[in-house]
Amino acid sequence: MTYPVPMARRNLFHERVRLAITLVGIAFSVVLILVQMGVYLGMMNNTSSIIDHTEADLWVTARNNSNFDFSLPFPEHRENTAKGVEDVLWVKKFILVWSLMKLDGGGSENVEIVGFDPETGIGGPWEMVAGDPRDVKYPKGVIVDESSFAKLGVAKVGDDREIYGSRVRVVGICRGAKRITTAPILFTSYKTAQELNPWMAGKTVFLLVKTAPGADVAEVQQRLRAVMNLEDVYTQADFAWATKKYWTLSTGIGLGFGFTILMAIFVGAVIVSQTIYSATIEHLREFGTLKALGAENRTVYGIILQQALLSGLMGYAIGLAINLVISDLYRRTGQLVVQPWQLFAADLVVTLATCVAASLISVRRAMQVDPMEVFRA
Amino acid sequence: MNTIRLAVDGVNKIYAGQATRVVAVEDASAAFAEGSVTAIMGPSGSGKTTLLSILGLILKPSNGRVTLMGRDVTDLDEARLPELRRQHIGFIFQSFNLFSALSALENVLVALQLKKVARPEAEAAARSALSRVGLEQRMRFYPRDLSGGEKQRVSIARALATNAPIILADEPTANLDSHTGLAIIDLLAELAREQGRTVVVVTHDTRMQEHVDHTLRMEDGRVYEN
Ligand SMILES: Nc1ncnc2c1ncn2[C@@H]1O[C@H](COP(=O)(O)OP(=O)(O)O)[C@@H](O)[C@H]1O
Ligand SMILES: [Mg+2]
Repeated sequence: MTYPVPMARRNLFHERVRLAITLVGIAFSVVLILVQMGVYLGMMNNTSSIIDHTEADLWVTARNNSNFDFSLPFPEHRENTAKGVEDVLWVKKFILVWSLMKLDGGGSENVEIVGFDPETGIGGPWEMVAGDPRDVKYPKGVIVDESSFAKLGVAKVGDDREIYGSRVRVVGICRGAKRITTAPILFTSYKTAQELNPWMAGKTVFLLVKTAPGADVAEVQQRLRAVMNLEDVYTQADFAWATKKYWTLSTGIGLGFGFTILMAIFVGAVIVSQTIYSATIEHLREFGTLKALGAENRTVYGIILQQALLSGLMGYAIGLAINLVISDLYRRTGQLVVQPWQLFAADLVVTLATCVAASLISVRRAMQVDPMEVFRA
Repeated sequence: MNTIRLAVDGVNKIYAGQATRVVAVEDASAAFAEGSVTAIMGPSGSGKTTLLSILGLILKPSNGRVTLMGRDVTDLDEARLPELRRQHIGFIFQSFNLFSALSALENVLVALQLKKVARPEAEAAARSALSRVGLEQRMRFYPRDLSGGEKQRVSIARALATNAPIILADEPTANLDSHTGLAIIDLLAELAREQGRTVVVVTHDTRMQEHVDHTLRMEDGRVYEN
């Protein structure tokens, strides 16, 4: 015997078909939100993965670039100006440039080439499958990211490839640097990156700046801005954010994911409000009876609300379980699915809030019940 | 004479719609004493249910006074009424009004939990009330598995278990066959006597008259002593 009698729970489980419909609706909405957000965040993590993995406090870029993949070069001697700024510990030149790689089966493919400093490894690959980041010191040595295999064919250490008429040698394979542009990504030394592209002579694309220990990054950023008047100076986080924002807003990605998620919330809300409402209507006389027995209004609303919250929690739990399976399927296809705990927390809040909002329509209806309803035959 | 537990004095109830105006109860006065069983009889539409709702503090009269346990409750704030109902009034309905998702035992327990009765006392009270109406074998049954007479017994047990001094019943036998109805009437009257409850029963059932102390007749909203 459970006492006090859990009226909300009893009401819910009393009508299993309705409960099933409610739970399917909520779980559907939860899965859609989690998977869509997970894929979106995964894509956005990809866009800024190189920025995030590069140990630099500040990024100097050509004016008005606003994203990583399409940044334009500027004279590399600007490095000296940056080095002269107070509290700048070091400055590294860093290249991201587009090029053409010849394919084995004929034709070429656009590729993105990252040129980093092989001595320190700053800006280089962070997860190696084969080889070592420093190996790009070998003449025309390149490291290929696994995600590029789809377009370039499987590469292994020792393979020869051709970029703009130059032979390059694969010296390593890395992982996790996949670009949202879908272009294969290669890492090489700063010097090789310049040599592979005739128009890059004497030019860099970024300056990576490390501030002195204890220095205020924002202050150094201000000082750099004062002297780097042809360039933009971002903090690492701001440049990552600018890049994510670019891909979210300048493509259909933001609209597409945003719309799907809104629809998921909306469809979930409609189903829940429908089932809770019809359950409330069918129980109106019982709610009236409760009031006749001396229940306060808030007790009655509490039961309706509890039913909504309980449905929300159960639906969320089911959605969570389904999400595990689906995200795993996604990951197997090579899609990065990023689901931080904040996403789960936010989705739980959204789900419960939706259920509560949906139940408010029912509470309104319960408020309007004619007290004499209980006496009707 | 026994103390008056519930009384109405010069009560009117007017249902005013946009184009309609129904005087459902007109200048009704009545008093119900401790341990008394009163029947309210009268044709359909004569205002019996309306009067019972006013007595049960479910409906506010358009004017006139309502006195409960010696206290004028006519102008009490709406928010105070649930507490008074919990403490003093038990209802029995024509359509039983059981909670369909709850067992017989739980149906009775709900009334006790509303009164914040602690678990052991609540369980004891619920079991004894159900036993008293002859349902000790049906405590775990759900309303859909109970006959009409059994449902009404559960609802009687629910009204009695809280020890409410006043029991208001609106046509408790109308949905029962005549044999079962008679048994219910017997039971109600017997319990009222043995436990000193004040019982007001709206009924069409003339057999009730053998069991009651008083009969009020209603016609067109007016109350007549028999
Ligand atoms: N909510 C209401 N609005 C308007 N008229 C009502 C309402 N409830 C009852 N009435 C009318 O009041 C009169 C008395 O109804 P009721 O108290 O239910 O009578 P009884 O229980 O004796 O059949 C009837 O004419 C009925 O139509
Ligand atoms: Mg009636």
